[in-house]
Amino acid sequence: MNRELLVMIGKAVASLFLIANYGLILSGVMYKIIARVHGRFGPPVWQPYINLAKLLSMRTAVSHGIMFYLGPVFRITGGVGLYLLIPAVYGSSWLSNFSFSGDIILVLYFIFFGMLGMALGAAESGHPYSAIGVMRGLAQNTASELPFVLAVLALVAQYKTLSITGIVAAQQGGIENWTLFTNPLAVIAAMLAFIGMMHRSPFDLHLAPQEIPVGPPTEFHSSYLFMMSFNRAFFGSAKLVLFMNLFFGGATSIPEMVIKTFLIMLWTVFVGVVFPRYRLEQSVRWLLKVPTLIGLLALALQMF
Amino acid sequence: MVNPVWIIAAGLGAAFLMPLAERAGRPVIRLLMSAALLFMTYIPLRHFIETVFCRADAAMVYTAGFRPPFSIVLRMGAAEAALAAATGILALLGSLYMNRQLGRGGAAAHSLFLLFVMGIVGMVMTRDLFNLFVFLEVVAISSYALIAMEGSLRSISAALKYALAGSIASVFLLIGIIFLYRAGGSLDIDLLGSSAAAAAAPVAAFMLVFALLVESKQFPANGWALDVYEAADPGMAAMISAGSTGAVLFALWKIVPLAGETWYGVIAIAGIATFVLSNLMGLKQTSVRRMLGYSSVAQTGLIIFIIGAGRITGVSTGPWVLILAAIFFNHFLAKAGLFWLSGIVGRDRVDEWKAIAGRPLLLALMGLFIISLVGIPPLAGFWGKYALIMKLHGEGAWVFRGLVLLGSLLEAAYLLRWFGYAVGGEKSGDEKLPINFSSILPPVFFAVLSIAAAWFLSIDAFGNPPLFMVVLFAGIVLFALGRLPDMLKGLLSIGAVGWLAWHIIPNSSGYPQFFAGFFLIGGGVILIASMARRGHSFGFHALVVTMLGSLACLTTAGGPAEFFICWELMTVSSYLLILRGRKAGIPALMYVLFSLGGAYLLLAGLAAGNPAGAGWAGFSGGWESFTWTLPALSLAAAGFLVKAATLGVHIWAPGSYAEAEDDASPLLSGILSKAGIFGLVVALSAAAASGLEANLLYTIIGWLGALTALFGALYAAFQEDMKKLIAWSSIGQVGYIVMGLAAMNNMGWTAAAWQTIAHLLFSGLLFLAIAGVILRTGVRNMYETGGLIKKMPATFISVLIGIIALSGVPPLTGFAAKWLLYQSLIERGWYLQAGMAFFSSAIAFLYCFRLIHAVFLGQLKPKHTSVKEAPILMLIPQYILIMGIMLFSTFPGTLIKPASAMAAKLFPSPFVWDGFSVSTPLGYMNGTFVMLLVCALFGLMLLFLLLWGPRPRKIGQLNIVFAAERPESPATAHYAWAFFEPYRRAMAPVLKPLAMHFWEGVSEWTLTLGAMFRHVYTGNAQTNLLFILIYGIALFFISGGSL
Repeated sequence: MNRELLVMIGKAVASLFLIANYGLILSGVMYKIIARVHGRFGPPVWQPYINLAKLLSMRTAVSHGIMFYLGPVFRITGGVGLYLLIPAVYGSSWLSNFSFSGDIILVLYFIFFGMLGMALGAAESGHPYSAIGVMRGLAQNTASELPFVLAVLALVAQYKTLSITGIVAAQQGGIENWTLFTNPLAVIAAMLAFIGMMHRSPFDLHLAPQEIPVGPPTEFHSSYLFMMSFNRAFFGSAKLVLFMNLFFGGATSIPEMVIKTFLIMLWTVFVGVVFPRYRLEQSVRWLLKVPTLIGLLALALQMF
Repeated sequence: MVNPVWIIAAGLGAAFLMPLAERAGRPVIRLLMSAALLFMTYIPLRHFIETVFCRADAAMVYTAGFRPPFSIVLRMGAAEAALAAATGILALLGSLYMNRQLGRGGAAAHSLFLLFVMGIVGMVMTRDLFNLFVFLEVVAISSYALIAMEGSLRSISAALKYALAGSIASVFLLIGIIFLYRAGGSLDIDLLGSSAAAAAAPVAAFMLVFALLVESKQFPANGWALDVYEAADPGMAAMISAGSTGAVLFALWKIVPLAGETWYGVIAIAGIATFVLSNLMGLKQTSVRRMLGYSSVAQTGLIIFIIGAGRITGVSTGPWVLILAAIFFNHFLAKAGLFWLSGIVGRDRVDEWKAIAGRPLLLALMGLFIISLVGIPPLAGFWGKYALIMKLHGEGAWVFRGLVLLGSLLEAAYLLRWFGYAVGGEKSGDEKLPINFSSILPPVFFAVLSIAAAWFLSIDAFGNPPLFMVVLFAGIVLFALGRLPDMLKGLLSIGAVGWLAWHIIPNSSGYPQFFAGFFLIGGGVILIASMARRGHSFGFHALVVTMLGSLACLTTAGGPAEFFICWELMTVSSYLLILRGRKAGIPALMYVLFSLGGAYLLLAGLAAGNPAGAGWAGFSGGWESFTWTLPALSLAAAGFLVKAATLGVHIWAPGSYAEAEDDASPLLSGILSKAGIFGLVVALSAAAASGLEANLLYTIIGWLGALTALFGALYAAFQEDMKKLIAWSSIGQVGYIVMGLAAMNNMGWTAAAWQTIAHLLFSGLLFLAIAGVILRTGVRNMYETGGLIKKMPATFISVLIGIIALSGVPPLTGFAAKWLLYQSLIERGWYLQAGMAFFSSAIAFLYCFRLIHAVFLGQLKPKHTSVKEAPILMLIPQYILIMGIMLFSTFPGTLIKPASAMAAKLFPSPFVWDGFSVSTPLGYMNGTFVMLLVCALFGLMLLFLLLWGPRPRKIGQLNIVFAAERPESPATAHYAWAFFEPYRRAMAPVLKPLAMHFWEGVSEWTLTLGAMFRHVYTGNAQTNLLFILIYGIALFFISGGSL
């Protein structure tokens, strides 16, 4: 029993190590791409590592209270946990993670865990900008989740299972079996929602990265910000892997996973660098119109 | 037995002796009258006992020893004796009540009063038509005089209007009698025989019925009657409303058989029209006595309707007489009581009745009389109305049922609004009310009679005291112990609830057991918080125990009647509980009207599925003989959905949950809202077991649940008031339960059971925690608070756990509910509803965050720097609930397994268990593992932060990076007001309160319609006469009569 447990933990650590590095490098690459599109030289691809190291080496920290202190802990627990619930590579024993503990519904709701925790931490800082950022983030989130869920439901109607592994299994045997081709409307709806879920422009109002510090992380610094930044490596990768599994046939090997997730990420970056930012009303309405209608159509096609 | 003719002799004799007695002084006339009245009461009472209990035959008195047609016959059977005895008691109490007024009038007034009473009893006893006319005249003339006796311009003019109308009626009656005598050759009712004479002289039938309908104040020929009720002394109004009206109704009862079959239909229509329209017009009434007048007229209409409808719908006479008696005597006791109370309080505008707020005796009397008029069990009116609805059948029965229920709802509206003013007003306390022994005894006596009748009827219906009577008794005892400290009453209440739980839970199984446990254990836990009250809150514990007890009785109800009784008891006790809130007048009224509307739908449903029961209404009949047909199921489900505050009929809920007292809100939202769910479970499971096909209905219910979940969440996100936020959230959360049930599969029902428990846990938790916040800060608007985490950490943890459990985030309880629900919806093929449910749960994050942020996080306000943690007695139930959440979160199997097993009787269970892991054909989950994983990760990360991160330095509250500035004050730095404003703008198109507008429209149109009919009453005697004439003509045409 203990041995089993140790093996399980060892596999999980290996899987996390892989995805953390992949996630960090991926975001470095994306920064580079964005910079090149902007006509800048951009930071080196290992800049995320430098950022993390810098944050970890800070010698002072202040706290606004217990919830503020725990916010980043919630956040990274959410990110790491989410990744561990999703099978990253189909058929691999160590990269299937803990996907036996729950199906797609668990994953859908676990996405909120870290988000809520960090929102609470940010709120205790007492900074109005944090609260405004949280408000914007949560509000937009409701709108981006809807088309995604409709797409997922269309998939469930199609594959008659809630198991992510089951959905991946159903897409094996050739590119023509991918959801992308068997259920294109669902994929369109989900990929449009995905831009919102990844908080890329035009749906990045709540972070507003270019302006004065606005958004949930406003008051966070040093180790807190380290945890939150590091979380992005897990959280972002987890969502990429999820989309890959649901819509693009999953991956049977690590290189396949890398290529597929990279391309999915590129899509959000591609849109992000081209489009200016929406106001909240605009983004919510847009998400509830175009992708939602497409999602409904996808669902209707599966139902009837 | 004493010969009943002595009643007349005693009345007349004493009346004529009065002038002589006056010479001997006031006390003597009083004594004489009391003695005469006592004697006049004793005789019928004795006859009543003999005929009812010793089964003696009706006594027939042949005056002067001749047989009819040469003599006048008096009859004293059970019905006559009951009515005459009741009149006697009324007269005795009435004369006591009118002591001063009668005293002012001297011998004349005393004589008139005696004549009045004697006339009534004479009308009741006589079997001779002309004699009936004479007694009617005696009653009428003495009442004109007694009304005018008050001496005010208003009363004199009312008496005159009465005299004018009365004389027209008398003329018609007399001519009718003449015609009938000409055709039938006799004046004796029994000799004339049914309808033979009328066939010979249809015009006679018309005139008799017309005259008696006018005398019994039917719409629209009743303008005079309302003025009389309004202007007469309340003591006299009581005598007219209960006494003389009874005699007229009894006369009608005797005469309709002579008029012939067609007239039954006519008086049924005339009666029901009066019932509905009078209640409609009563809605806008602000004068108490006039309002009571409308109610009196309406009740008279109802009784006339019953007289007529009994025949046309072919109900056997036995039950019909009992229905009539129940409704009549209910009206008799309640209306006399209310008129008397109106005299004691002496305020004529409904909103001035707050004068009696804080006077438990007067409030209890008023409440008792009002709920008996509304027809709440176990008071007499209920048994009558229930039996009436059940017994009506045949062609047109649905229309009649609908109208009776509609009229009852309208009547409840204005009576309960009045009651709300009385209860809800600020305590005035120092106002002097003319309460003395002689004025308070009559209503108290009638209240005791009402309660005795209720007891008798309940025992009669069920054989031995049913459980709900025990609950009621417990409630009454707790009410009587009102002066004890709240801590002690709290303990007693928990004891009572515990006793019920001990008594009920082990003896039941399946869903009834589940819900009994839910209601009683959940209620008991939340009740702990009420021990934190300081002082002597009158009635709170009594109402809570009655509410929880009747909910528990609901689960043990053996048949439709008992179920409905418990349902009504639960409704009325929760209504009174809500009404205790400081600003709860309007929400409580909305609550009770919607609840009654729902209850009436349920009643109609029960009528649709109930066989025409044996006995007088088959009260003790079980569910076995009940068939859940589609109409029955639809109507009952509609009633239950009102209680569950489903979208469209939800508008009562936010205000009721929010405005109830802070420690009552968790009971309402956590416990009471599940009454509708239990009802749905009962109805749907029986329907499913009987193989009823109702897919369309299920789909409709499913969509309603989905929409409720969505809009509950949306509106919750935009509230400023913390209690309203949780209230809206509760509405939405119950929507999920409704969806689960509507899915009609094992997972759906398991999800519903789970969500039922989960909702109690987190909504109870949130309401209790917020109650603590309100107690300590005294504010309810979220933006007025902030930063309370530092002052109330234990409460913060409650709210934190509450919102995580609510939002459905793993690893807490909310997740499993969602997991089960989506699978059930997918299994059913309801993908769109599943999408909508998910959207709703995403919106739930908005209000969850808002609640915890605005109250506990952000900036602490200076005025709250000395706020203390909530009292320990409020925290204890919260932490019990948290333990529940943790238990079910970590070991979902403890709840999923039994819940699925309960549903497995109807739908096969799809769950496969492997250790802590559960799978279904669609998906799988391992709640225990997820909990462990999350805890382990959280612990590791926290450890990392503790070990690696620098030791954090505490900094000041306003020490934030604020665009290189420092914020001026916590108020400007706390972003909390209109929190989701941009989101509200984005969602504006779907946020129109359509349901609210709809119901406002309904209320507006109803009032306008009522106002339109009120144009009939100009207050002008000539108009009154004109309408009597028009009424006569209309009646003539309706009857299709040909002369």
